[in-house]
Amino acid sequence: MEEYAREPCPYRIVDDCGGAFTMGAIGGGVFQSIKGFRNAPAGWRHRALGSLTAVKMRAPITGGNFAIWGGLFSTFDCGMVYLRKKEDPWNSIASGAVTGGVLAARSGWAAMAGSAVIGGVLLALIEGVGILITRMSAEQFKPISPTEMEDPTQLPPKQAPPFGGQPAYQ
Amino acid sequence: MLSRLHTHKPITMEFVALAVGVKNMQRFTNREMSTKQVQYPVQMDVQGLSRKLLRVAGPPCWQPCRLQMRKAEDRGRGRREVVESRDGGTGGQLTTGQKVVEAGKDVTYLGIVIFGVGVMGVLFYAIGRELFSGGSINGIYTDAMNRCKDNEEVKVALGTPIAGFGEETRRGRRRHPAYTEYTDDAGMKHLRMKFYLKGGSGRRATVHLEVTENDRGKYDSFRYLFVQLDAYPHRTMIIQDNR
Repeated sequence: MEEYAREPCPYRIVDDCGGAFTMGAIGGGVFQSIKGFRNAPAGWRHRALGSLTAVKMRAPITGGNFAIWGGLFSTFDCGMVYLRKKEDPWNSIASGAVTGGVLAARSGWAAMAGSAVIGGVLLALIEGVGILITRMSAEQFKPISPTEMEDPTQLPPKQAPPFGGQPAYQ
Repeated sequence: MLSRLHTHKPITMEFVALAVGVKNMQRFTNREMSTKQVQYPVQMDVQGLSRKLLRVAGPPCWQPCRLQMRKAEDRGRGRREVVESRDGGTGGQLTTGQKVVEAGKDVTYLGIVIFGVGVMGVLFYAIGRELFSGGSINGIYTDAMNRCKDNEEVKVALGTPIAGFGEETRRGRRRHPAYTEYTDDAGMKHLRMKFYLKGGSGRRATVHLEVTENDRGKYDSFRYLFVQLDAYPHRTMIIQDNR
């Protein structure tokens, strides 16, 4: 119950930052190990060493970049939640765009606009996937017969139709 | 080129790479530099070296090769050996087998591109319909939330400002309300949805609603819409009841 009552918002930023770092470090590790392996001189020993060196040098950087993205994104997302008082896909699309823009701030306005568009489109795509998944799972839990869909008991009982379908005069 | 060989000048990596038309010379030189093995013996023949180059750096691309060939032609006799090492002495002409292979590759890549564009299209269509159409899940959610926010009884019970959110996922996201669709005995589609409100006083409430489709198959009217406080006494505030 405590877990349910707690607002996810400010704490979520830390969660997202860490999750993004992990994701980036693992993904970057896989990518860099392959790249290092391919770029090393011939011989298994060289290749293994090259792979390891590349992972050691580059994977944490990728992780850090991801963490910055995730942390900023989550911060903006929480800001949107606070400002709009509503949680819906627009929040994440807008914060994706803002994150992209802010991270490109050092490259000038044009680069900021481009990055913002890319960020927004990327997050829109992710939201699209989320929506499709939600729809599919809703389809899965569709009730088989309509009779089990009783009206909620919180509502007052429906007005009973009068006898014979006709109002009784006198 | 040959003259350069004859004078026994050392063959630099750039020279060889230029001769063979290596596509990714940066990668190649980086690799060789990193192992401090740049000094190849001067006597090493260009053919063997270029074969090694091909193996290490991958096949050269077609466009620069043609360019390189033209350059080599300008330079004179040395080109033959180098060209032979590149494409088996056919002088840039593709054999039928190679043409088939190239066509197959083209078709495969085209298929991948079309598949990708198709997937993007489906996703953009889904998100566009969700965000910009009134009858979508998000549209119903927005509509219902505005009705709740404008309701005086709800305002008093929860306190302003009222925030709304959907089901919480494991990662702290609450963007999607829970819903289920069903078809009644008359063949009409209904959609039930549930989402949550939190007022300025910190009190929480759950919103239940049902929409029915109109003759054009679009959800547009609430069958019922009510708000129930989560804490005792679980008061119910009916905003609309069209049953």
